[in-house]
Amino acid sequence: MMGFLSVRKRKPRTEAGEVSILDKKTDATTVKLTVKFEGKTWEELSGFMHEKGFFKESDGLSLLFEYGVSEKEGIDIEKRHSEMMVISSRHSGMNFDAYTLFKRNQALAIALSVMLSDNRRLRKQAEERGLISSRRETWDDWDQAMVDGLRRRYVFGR
Amino acid sequence: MEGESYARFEKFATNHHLEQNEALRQVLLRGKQSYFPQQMAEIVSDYESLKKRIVEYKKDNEVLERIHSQTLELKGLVNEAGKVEGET
Repeated sequence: MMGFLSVRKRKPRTEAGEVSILDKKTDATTVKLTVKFEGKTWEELSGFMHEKGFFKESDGLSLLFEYGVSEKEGIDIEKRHSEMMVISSRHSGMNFDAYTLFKRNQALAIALSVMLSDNRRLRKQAEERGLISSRRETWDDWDQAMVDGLRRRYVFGR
Repeated sequence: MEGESYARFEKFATNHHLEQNEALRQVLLRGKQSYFPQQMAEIVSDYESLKKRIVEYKKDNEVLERIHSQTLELKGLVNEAGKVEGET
């Protein structure tokens, strides 16, 4: 009979007393804690942050703190595994598409005022010379507020 | 951290009858446990808002590109007509 020996690597056991808040500074909207970590708790947390690629430990700890106190339900990855795989892979592609479109619109929005006045002037000239027939375009009704709105969205990112 | 998160931390400590050091240790370990589920929730919510933003960007892009290409075409047309007029 063949036997299987399963060797489970035991996780480091964290213990009480390994985290001490040394100082707390509060201002109108934020709280800053100075914390001392020791022993297995720090091994576990720093190992995890290192694995996830956090450049600054304080960033990783702030995020873990946020998640730790969050009342929001996370996603049950085991139940929605295949759906999550699809979303995850589409997400990066869509991020790229959104960025590309945003940058293109930004370039066009920067030149929009000049482009619109050129367009109106040239259309008038072309119509007068009988080169094109007169027709209304979507942007004929655009006022300065519309132009400013597009510039705000793409140039100033608001 | 935001004051709001700190208030939730204090509530956690009170509800679990923990002194603050131990509460912080448990909160951070809880954060580690829920890291993937929370990250995925953020990706899903970002994905939904990206979908909406892309629709909006595409709609704007369609008009902006039309203004751009039509202006270029008109420039060519008017210039060409000007040349022909100049020659005759």
